[in-house]
Amino acid sequence: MAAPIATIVATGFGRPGGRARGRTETIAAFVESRQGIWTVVESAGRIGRRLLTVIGALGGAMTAEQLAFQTPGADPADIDDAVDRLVAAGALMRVGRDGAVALSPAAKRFVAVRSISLADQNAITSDVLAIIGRALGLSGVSRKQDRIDQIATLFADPAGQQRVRAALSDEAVSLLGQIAETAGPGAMAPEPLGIAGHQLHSAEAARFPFQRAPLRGEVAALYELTSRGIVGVAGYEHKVWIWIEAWPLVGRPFFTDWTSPPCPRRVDLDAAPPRLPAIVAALDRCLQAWEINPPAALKNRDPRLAKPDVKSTAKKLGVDAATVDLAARLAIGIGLLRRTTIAVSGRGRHQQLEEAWLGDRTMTDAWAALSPARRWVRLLSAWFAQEGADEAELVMRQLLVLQLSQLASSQGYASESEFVAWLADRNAPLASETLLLGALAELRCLGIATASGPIAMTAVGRRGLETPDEVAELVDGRATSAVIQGDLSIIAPPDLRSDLSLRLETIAVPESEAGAFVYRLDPARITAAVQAGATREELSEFLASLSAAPLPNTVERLLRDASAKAGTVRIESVSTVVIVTDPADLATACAVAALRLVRVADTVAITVVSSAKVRAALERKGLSPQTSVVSQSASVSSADEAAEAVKRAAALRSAAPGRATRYFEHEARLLEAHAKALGDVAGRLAVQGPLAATIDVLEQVGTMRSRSNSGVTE
Amino acid sequence: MSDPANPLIVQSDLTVLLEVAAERTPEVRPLLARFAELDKAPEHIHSYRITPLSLWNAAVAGLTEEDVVATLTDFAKYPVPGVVVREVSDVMARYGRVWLARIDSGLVLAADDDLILDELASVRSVAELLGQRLDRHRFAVADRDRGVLKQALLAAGWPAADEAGFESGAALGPMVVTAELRPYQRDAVTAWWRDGDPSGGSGVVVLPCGAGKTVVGLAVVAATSAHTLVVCTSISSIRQWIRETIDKTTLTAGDLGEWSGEIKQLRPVTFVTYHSLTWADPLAAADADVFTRHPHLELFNQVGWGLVVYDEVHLLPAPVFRAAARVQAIRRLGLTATLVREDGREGDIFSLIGPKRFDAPWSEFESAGWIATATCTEVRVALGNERRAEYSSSEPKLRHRIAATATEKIAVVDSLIAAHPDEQILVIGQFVEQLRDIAARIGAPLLTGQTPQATRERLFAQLRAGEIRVLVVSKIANFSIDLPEVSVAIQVSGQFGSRQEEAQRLGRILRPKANGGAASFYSVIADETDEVRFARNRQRFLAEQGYTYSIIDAAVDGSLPVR
Repeated sequence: MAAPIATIVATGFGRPGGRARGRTETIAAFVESRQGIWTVVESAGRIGRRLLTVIGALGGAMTAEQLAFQTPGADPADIDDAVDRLVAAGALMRVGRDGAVALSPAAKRFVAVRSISLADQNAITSDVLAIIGRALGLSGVSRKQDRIDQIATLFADPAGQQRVRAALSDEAVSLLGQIAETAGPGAMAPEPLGIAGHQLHSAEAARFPFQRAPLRGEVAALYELTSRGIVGVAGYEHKVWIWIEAWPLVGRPFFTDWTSPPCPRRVDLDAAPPRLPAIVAALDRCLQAWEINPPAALKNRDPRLAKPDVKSTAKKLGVDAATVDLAARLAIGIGLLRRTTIAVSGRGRHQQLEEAWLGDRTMTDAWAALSPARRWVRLLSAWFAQEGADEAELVMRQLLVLQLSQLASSQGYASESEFVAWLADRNAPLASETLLLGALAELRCLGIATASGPIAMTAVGRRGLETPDEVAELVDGRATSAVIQGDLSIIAPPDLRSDLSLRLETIAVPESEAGAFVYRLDPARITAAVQAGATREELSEFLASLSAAPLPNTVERLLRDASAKAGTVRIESVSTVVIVTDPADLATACAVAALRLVRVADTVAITVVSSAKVRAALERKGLSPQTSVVSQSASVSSADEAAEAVKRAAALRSAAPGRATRYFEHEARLLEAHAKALGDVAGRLAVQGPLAATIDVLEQVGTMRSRSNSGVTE
Repeated sequence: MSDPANPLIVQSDLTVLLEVAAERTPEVRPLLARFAELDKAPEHIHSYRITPLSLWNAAVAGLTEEDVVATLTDFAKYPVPGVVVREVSDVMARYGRVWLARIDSGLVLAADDDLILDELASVRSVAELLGQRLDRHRFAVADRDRGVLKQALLAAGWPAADEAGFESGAALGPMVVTAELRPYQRDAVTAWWRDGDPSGGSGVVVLPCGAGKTVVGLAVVAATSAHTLVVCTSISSIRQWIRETIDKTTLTAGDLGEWSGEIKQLRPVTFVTYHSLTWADPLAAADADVFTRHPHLELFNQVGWGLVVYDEVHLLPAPVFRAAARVQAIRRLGLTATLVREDGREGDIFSLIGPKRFDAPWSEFESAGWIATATCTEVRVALGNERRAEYSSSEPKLRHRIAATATEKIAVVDSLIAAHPDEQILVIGQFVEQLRDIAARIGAPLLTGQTPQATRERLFAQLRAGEIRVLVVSKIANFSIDLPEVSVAIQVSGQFGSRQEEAQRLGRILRPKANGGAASFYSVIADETDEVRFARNRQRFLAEQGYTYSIIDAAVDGSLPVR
């Protein structure tokens, strides 16, 4: 049985190193806190929420008989499960030995008690109660509370119920049924009943003399109900409800639909060999592509890429857009990409900055030095605590991981839609199918869950979440050689070392990973790799060292042809200058009329058209242009920036004149803190402890539950 | 059981990789070929595909799922993925659940499980080919729909076992193949004929050019011993078949007929071209029956054919596809070197002509000496500045022509011819003007589509006789021309990376040479143009077939590096 979502949130929305992680006591304290209770209520699931509403409507407690009456047609296991989850959450609900359930006093404040009582403050006046009393044949009391008690007693008495019901017209009985069905113990708008809002005034229990015109249809029926204290209306608030005191008269439970989606089917899965998830290679290739053509930063400062940049990168790399988007968000979150001003135009208030995401050299170098398994683990931790993500999204991630981690390692959920519908229902209203589907897609993309087919946690995913330090043991194969053939295919054993497979992916397209790896050397990828800094000799040396036999001549030629294309065309931004090494390429470029290129030399042309458009057009012509960043300051390195900050801090201190010392000291400290943060590359790439908060929380939840089951709750 | 020394890697996507150098490779190859299709055969690791069709073909041949799984398991390096075992089991279990049979009243589609027939009757493409439901287990089927129905059933995932048998056709009389069959030729005939069992008698034999497909065809005619229609690619090809038949069998010229634009003879063994068969009657209505629109297809319906042989079956044109679907009661053999179609209709060939009955990597034929050892060399030639500028500023449509017809190539052709002073050479190209220039420059005869048939025959005969050393030919020489002593082909231009064209052109020089010499296949490519990209396509195909492929640069003056 799944733990309530509160236990997940208890770990600080899963942020590694976040608040309240680790100890059972801390979790218990959290779920008893206001935020904890709120979270439980907001994620109790549809059945759980209804239970809370019913208990709340009945004054915060419910006997076993009431529980049975209020949950008609429900599967007892569903109810038990919902109650169990609410009880396990700590202080929210208590179950007595006789099966009665009650909300804790603290929880009552958080449960929306949706029923409306005659005794509620300002709900009804004593005069109106008197009118109702007369209509019901009651008299002899003058205090407001006495009048309420008299009406409630009448409605609770079977004989009284019969008498009141007998006096109602068929239309009124029918209308009462409609209100009960639609609104339950809460309130509803009048329109679904066929009554316009302005007609509510005519149906109030106390009518003015000038309103004594005869009523017709539904309004007349509604007046029958209001004048007998069964239904209340609020004309200005546009609401209709059944008074809670009148529910015994209605003779039905608040809610009649207690069904929940069936448990998703589980299927047995084949054991797949543990593989380093593809997101690592995808990110490497994205970084390479962005190194060549830096994507623009969004003006709203969101830490992600603009959709056109995502799409163009995806198209260029042959990766799906969702993967590129995720890779970009993670790279930004880790600090591999930094927002950098690459051009400034205008002055004063007309000044405009052009910003792009440039790779931080310090970070990317440190990133490249990490083992592939470590990189993946860092991506996971970045995902669980992603900056800029909505907290509900972060909770969904933990929730999914929690649910999947509880499956046996050889099992999976057969259908994604079934699974998501079930989980959303179980954790409503905080969980929604849309949010869960989004999180699940990313979970698959990250390699925590299976990439397609039945949903299950991968062996690598499980290991990564539980003991991230041991992922490398699982995915790092020992093989260091592959077969490179004249048809440009490369066949590598399933246990190829992951750093080698990652490097291969920068120059070859994976054709099959269904056992052994099959790659095909790809000219476009080789060109991109060379543009990103690799040399033809390095690539050749790498392939030669990988190959068990001498490299085929065709492979050598491909490396030569493809690397020769790199950098033969460069694009300078600002006024877009196209520089080529081969005049024939310039002829090709100038042939595109839309670019309005003006040839200024055999190998140089300029145009007023933006560099992005020029780039796109030249790519369509089969060229591989490389965009240069004009501004020298655009070269990003956190180490350089940190050193600069330290220097500036020192300068501030030494130059601080008299009274301004404190101010300058403060500024200097800020600069030093900034420098420290920038310089702490190891800290930014570090991952500690289990990544998914839920994994180690499960055992703690088990402990709490066994405590609650052993009689702590009375 | 899985063992790292074993030769197979079974992938969960149903591809099987075979390590050529492994000790048990010779043992597993024939077993694997029974249920998987050879996809690529480069130098170190060959790749096979297990498809529903290949499994169903295996089932036709009597293989069970246990046999398939046992082969995979016994020879696998790593454990066989469970998904593969399940897929094999699921797919093979479907074969034979419905079958076509002949009863007194005609053809019927039958099944033991009437629910399968119900399901098929709800599939539109199948339902429209079914006649009256005779009982819960049988539907009547028109004879003419036999092929199309089999296609539709295949697409619906319920391949039918065709137990309706074949018409034996008119008897041919005594015919013996006098040439000695090579072992693989015998294997091919046995695999196709299956001792006359209805499970055989239809299908495709894939052999490299020069490996003796014609002889296989003649052996099949002899096995069938019935009147035969042989469909060829050209008149030259017909004449070649006739020569070979007279030379290698006991049939005489009187038994052989030619049905072409020039002659219309109907004899026990009649040869016809695809072109003649598909001649379209200009007066026929657009929506008329295929036999009305293409009246010569009626030749199929002549009483008495017991066998139809489709030479170069990969070229089967659409009308013949449709006609072939109508003559499913006649045994049929497809012969080809390259079962690849750029239009991807290989599946139609399988379902209408029959399954692939025999195939083997070309490199094996080469190493056994059945075909000449060939080396493929791509010669890159740089364009001059002027032509380069012209190329760069041209529309993409014109670029291919500019690159392909670059005059810089002519000097390279000179160098290549000079490099093979004692060998017979074919210079092959796509563009007639370019070929005319080359022919004029080197003083060699030119043969194109406009050359009269008699001249063609004379030139080919002169080449065979060694009277001329170099012949410049257009794409008409791509197919079915037997020039055994030609050992060098120089390809100066071609279609956009057509794999089929590449294989066929290479095929011209693969006939084993009398002196046992090797063959050289050159492609002259304009460097830094689209030709390089197209050449990469062809390069990949040839490398996948197991040929050694190398790339060299020609100097500006056309001279070649010393190798």
